[in-house]
Amino acid sequence: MRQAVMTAPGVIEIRQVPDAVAGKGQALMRIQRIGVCGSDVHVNHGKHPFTKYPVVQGHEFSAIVEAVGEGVTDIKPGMKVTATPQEVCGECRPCLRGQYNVCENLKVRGFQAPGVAQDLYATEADKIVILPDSFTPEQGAFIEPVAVGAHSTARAGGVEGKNVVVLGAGPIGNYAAQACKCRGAKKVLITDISAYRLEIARQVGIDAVSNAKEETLAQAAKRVFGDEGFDLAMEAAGSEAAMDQAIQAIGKGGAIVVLGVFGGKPGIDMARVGEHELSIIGTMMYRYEDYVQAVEWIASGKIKTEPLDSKHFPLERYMDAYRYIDEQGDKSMKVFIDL
Amino acid sequence: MSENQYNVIGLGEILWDLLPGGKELGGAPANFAYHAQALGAQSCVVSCVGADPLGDEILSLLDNAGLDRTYLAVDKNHPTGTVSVTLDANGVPSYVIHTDVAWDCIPWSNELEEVAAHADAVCFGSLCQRSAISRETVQKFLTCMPETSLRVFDINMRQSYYSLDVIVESLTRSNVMKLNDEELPILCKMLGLSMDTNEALNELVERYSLKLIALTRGSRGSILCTPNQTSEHRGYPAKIVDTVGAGDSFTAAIVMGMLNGTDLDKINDTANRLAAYVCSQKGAMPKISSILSSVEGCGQI
Ligand SMILES: [Zn+2]
Ligand SMILES: [Zn+2]
Repeated sequence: MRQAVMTAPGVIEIRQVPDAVAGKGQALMRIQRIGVCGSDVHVNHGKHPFTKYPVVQGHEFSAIVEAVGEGVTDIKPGMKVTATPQEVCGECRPCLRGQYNVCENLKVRGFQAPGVAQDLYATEADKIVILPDSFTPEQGAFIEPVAVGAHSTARAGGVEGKNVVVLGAGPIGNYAAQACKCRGAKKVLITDISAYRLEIARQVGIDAVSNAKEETLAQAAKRVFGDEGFDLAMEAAGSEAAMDQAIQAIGKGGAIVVLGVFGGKPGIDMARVGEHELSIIGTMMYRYEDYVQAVEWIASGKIKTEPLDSKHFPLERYMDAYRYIDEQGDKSMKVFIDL
Repeated sequence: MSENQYNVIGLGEILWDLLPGGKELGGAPANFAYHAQALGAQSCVVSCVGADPLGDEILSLLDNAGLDRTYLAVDKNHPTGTVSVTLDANGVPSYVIHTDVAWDCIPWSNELEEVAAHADAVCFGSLCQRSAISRETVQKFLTCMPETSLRVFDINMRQSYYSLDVIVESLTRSNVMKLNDEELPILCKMLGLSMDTNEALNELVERYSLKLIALTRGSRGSILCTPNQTSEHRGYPAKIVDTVGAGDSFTAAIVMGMLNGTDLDKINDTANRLAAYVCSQKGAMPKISSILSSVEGCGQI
């Protein structure tokens, strides 16, 4: 089978390796689509702090079950599936609480453990999430970022009936905004400096958009929510300026969920956080139930994925996918590798 | 036994698994008792060992684990139970559960009657009921327990050492049952139950007036079913070292949750967290962190 190995930043070799096989309790998957995400791009640029080379990438994907190993009964060849990419220990304090997505010994496939950028991949059956027959390969590969939206909005401490601001309209911000709608948010405003990304947000049905180059968050919130303001913000831009605007504009007692990946250590107006009793809430990937939630939302049509599908490249042209992403900048949403 | 702790008993076989790499203490009752104690119970093990070095080793091992073995009988005429494990040329293990051993002769006594009368919960299986003596002791023990107590039948099917007779009698005298997804289809055939999992569980609850039935599904979680509620759990992932004792720890968490009147979904969550942890550790009796017993799982958040 083919396997794409990133041997150094910006270098991918397509190798021929022996076919993967399903061990006991495992399912063998034939990989169909792999989504390339921001973290992958960091690895490509040599800027992902916890990834060593060589590495097989690929953690958001769809597949068809090829075979199952001994002891696997409820997964059958031919099923459409995806799988969670986390390897966890089960013995650290977070694991003991069931919060295994922040396992002290967490390894994520595609980063600290081998990912799925190969024709066949064997994984433990309990990581498999079965997809409806109606799913396209792209919908299957979109489960992972939608699960990020599901988990982060579950962390928010209640979304229903609230006005919400989502900062950043890339795939993660887009799906977080859609997840807020799914959880019964009253009105969702999404902001970005990319007119292209805001247009995609409009296409998937987000209530209101604001270009941060044209108005401040306070102005946008006033325009969209009037005197009601907003009490929940989802920071998906990883930007100090966006975070600061959120802290200044959010209502007293509000909550800000931090989805964005911050490069440095942003200055935070802690006096305001304290006096306004704001909650700043971290969120990390997802757990199995978030995948299940994501499947349900996409299957029911509550979350739209089609407008986020930007471009496809075959496995052999993996590097071209990265070049395309670098060239397009904010004018691409999700790029897929087709196997 | 202390006043404010629940008295929980592991009743049945105790033995050594003679593995190619060395011997390890085996038998679900001791594992169950250990985990119930770690979750706050006052546990004791009711079984029987031989008057031999292997028996002495079990006694000191239970002492080290802090388990009450006052009611662990010593039989002068039968050897301590052992299971021989051999690997064939392909490394596939085969087991010989030696017969006519000490735990086949768990004696009934007035003291045991006393223990039963003050027990809040007991866990027992089918294996130790392969012999007439131990079977009678188990059944008497169940009869002597208070009406309100939990009598937990962990079916634990081993090779050919179970019969329709023993299973039906045990189910009739118990009010909680635990089994795994390999045992369920066998039981369904034996008892003529529906082959649909949820239907079969409900039929068992109804037919044997069970307070709860627990079905474990390996690393894929569990289903708890009561007369008016069902709780399904996906299970927690872990780096699996060995699965020995995971099922027994699961049963212990169910029992302690029921005794404490915990909500069914929370019981299921704690049982799955504990079982995943036990899988991540070597052996059946790893050190148990208080996080497992005192901290609520993070559930869906
Ligand atoms: Zn990703
Ligand atoms: Zn862990």
